[in-house]
Amino acid sequence: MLLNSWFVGVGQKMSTLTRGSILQYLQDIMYELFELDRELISEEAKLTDLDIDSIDAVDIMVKIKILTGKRIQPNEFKDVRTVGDAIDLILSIQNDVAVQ
Amino acid sequence: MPVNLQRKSFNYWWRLFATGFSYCLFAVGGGLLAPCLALLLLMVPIKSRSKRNITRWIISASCRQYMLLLKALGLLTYEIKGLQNIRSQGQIIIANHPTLLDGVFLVSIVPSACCIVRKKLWNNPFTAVPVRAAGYINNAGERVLEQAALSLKDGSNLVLFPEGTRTKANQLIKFQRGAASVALMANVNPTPVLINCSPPALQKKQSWYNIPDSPPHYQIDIFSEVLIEKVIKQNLIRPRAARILTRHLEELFAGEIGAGIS
Repeated sequence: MLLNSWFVGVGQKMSTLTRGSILQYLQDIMYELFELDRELISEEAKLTDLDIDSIDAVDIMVKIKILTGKRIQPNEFKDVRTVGDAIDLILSIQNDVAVQ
Repeated sequence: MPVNLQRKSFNYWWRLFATGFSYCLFAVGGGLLAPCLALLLLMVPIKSRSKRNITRWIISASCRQYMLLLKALGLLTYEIKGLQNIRSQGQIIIANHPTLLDGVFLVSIVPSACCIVRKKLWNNPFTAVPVRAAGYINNAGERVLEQAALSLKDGSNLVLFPEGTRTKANQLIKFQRGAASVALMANVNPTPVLINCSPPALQKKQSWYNIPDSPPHYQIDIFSEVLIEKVIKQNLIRPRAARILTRHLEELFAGEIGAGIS
């Protein structure tokens, strides 16, 4: 069984983050923050179709920081159009951390 | 658009001329006098807060004179109801945005108004100095919400157009959630202001010379504030609460205007 995504968030095992577990985490936080059904949150889902605005994006970035321990710059998130893009971004952050 | 010369009255030609004049006056006032005054003010050795208040007072007074002038020229008429609902500070004004003059109207009514302006105005060489001197907020800047909440605490009144841009009469009401988010963050009950312009004039993408056949009448209704605690009864986190409050405001405006909501 996958670790609880929250546990991964506080956990030190950054390398255990996979596309699947990140997607699950995003589904959890987007339900918590915006009451969006988990089924709507797929990799292809566009943030604009989910009615996510720039203020919501900031709230999402705060949650991503909890997951990765690293702050995302607003201009990094600007290019994020879909949930899949967000996952790519989180994975790239994770790799940065690993390199350090 | 071909204009039928025969059928236009003297009043029409007068208003066309006066409209052109008013546009020029606005450009000179906002584009030349305002930056010069603001630059002069920068050199005066007083506290920056005082400079901000003086700038806001000048902007407000100029807008008031401008509206009076437009009225005197016969270009429009207006009626403002509910002025008792305007407080001196810490208020969030939420208005619909049918015409070009809405901002001018509200800034002339609301004391110490703080506006959130577009990047275009923020960086425009003519308007950059006055909008910064007035302590306005750049909508493309960082932490817009926090800045707006801070300015409320600091005594400003926030003037917001949650539609984000001018919308046509009878168009669906669709608010961005920023206004509701600021209200929730600062815990300030928003005050709705309904602007109605009939016949429609000064709309988006309308050229200056496209004036209506009769002078437009502006009806400005300042409502009593919307009590957040009555709209959001449970203890919800802000993003969820902002959705509910925004929806409530959309419905309120749509109901008053008689337009639908999206």
